[in-house]
Amino acid sequence: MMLFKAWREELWVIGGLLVVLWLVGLLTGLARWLVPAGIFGYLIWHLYHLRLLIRWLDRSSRQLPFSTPGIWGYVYHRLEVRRRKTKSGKKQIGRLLKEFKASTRALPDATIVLNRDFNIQWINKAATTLLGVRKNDAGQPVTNLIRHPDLEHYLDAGEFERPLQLAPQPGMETRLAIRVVPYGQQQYLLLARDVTEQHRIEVMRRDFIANASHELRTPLSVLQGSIEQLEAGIGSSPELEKPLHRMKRQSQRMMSILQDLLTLARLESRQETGPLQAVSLSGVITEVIEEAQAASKQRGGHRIAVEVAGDVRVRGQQEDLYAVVSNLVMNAVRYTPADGAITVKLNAVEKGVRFEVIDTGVGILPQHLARLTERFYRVDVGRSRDAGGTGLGLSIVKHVLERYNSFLEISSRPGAGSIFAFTLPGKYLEESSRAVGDDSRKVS
Amino acid sequence: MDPTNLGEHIHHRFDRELESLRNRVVSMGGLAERQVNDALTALTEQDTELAEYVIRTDHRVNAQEVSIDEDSTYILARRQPAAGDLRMVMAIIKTITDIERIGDEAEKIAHIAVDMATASFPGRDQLMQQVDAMGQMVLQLLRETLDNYVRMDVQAAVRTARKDDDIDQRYVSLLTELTQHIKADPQDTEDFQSLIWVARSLERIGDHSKNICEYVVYLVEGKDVRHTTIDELEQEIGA
Repeated sequence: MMLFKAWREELWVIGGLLVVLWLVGLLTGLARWLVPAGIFGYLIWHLYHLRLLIRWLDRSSRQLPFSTPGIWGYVYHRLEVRRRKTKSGKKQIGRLLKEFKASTRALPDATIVLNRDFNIQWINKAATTLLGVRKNDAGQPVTNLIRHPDLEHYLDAGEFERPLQLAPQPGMETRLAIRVVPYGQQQYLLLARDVTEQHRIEVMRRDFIANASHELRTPLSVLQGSIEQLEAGIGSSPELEKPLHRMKRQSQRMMSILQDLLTLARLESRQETGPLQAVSLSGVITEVIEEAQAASKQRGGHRIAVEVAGDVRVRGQQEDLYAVVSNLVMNAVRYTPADGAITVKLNAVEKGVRFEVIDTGVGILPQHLARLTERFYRVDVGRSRDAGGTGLGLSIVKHVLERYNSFLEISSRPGAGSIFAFTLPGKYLEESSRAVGDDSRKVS
Repeated sequence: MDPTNLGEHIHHRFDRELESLRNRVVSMGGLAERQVNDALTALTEQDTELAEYVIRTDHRVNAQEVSIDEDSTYILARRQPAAGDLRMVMAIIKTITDIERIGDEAEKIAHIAVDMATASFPGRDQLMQQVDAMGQMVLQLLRETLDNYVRMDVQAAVRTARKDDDIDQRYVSLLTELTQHIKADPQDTEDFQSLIWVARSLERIGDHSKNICEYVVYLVEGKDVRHTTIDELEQEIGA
């Protein structure tokens, strides 16, 4: 309606102007001059408003003459309405942004926005207190300020599924759990949470277990010694033979549990492997198989097959690798009924060398698989005790493999058997055995 | 192609090269920082495994020095930088030498940590506490130094350099105390001597950090402030 009115006004102005000029022209006889002059004047008027508009658009004038009649007044009016709208919209966005930034700033977790090169773009307050990064550090690579080799590797690797735990500043107790979340157009959000307290409790728990196991070992070995002495003098009282034998067996079991607890504590206390030496993995397997055969005889015997491709030498720690192989093979012996088949395989694969233990044992129900490597986790409490494990074997396997950048793969069909496997990455292969790996890759 | 555009392109790439070189120096510094920390922890907590780890990984710091040195030489030869850029490359070459030495001192401490892991002598706990306290001061100094290097903060660099005096004082008092221990328990002289070496290494790390602080001043202000006292240094930069 407004637009219609504006056009009507405009047409009335033109019409009225022309009629008046024409009438005056008729009376004075100057119509020939007056009408073009009027049209010219009308053109000047438009040009004048065009100039006003341009100046307004260039922001050199602030006010528009809204009261101008006709189509220009309408244009000015509409422009003003639009200007007010965008202004309030901008204000609203600005307020939202401010609120968002304020809330992020107040987060207790350190938050750093990183660009795709991991340069700092924005930080919140907690980043200053927790990580020592300052506001004017924007543009610096984050690894320049949080200098930690682990963080560099973590960012380089680009695998952010698992948070990274680190002590941000040497000599400080603080422990942080760092998460990196990719978002938007190749930006990253780095979140750091203070986990000092959890870490302290974790360390305390670990130390407690290590100390307790250590302290229990001494009295236990005294007991074992005494039992042996008693056994030697058993001839006089044969009724003691059975209880003594039981005592001996149980004390041996306790000793192996303590040993395993100590091994676990040692494995947990440091992530890296110790000094690596050349270890013959095939040699370790042969050694373990001999033991397994002896254990198997006591349980009625199994068919144990070994498929090892040549002499595979790796770089590692003998006792670590022995613990892994022995735990996996002995488990197979324990949980496979007499006359079952156990196959131990060692093959060169593309990523390194793969070790597999395949049995035709009782198998494991799927709901147990995820929890199998937990300490003292028992699928079937009664049977496992009889089988004679410590309940810590697979935990040890898991921890050792973590040190070697590997993990335990378990697949199982209840009643049909299980496969326990892991792949040792190629970087742990000795040069000579790597050549073997290359050959077999060509064949496959 | 627009010739000015080409020039800008080359210039831009040069800046990036310098920037990446500087970041690698910081990363190398971070590694040395970690080594010092681990060596100190190994010593105070009698952790032989950690000490051996430090000894094994010292070569990483050395390797970084070699590679950064090579790339700096390459930049000098190829780009022939001038003024601020030249100072930057020069400062980098000097800084990595000091960082490499810091790594060496950490390795020395780690060796001593291995030797002393089973040693017992009178006043061990109390002495270790003091060594640790001095070590924490040095670590703090080293961390601030690298922060200043990253931020190119001249004022803070001068403040940090000043802290080296505290460490020197600490060194002297620790030395006096260890000498007294040697007099009191001459049968354990070897162990006390080892601790003197540790203190000496820590003091050297403090000196190297101070050097790096001076390079920061040199780099930003273009003034050579080596072999001057802190007060002169402050005057120089008008702090």
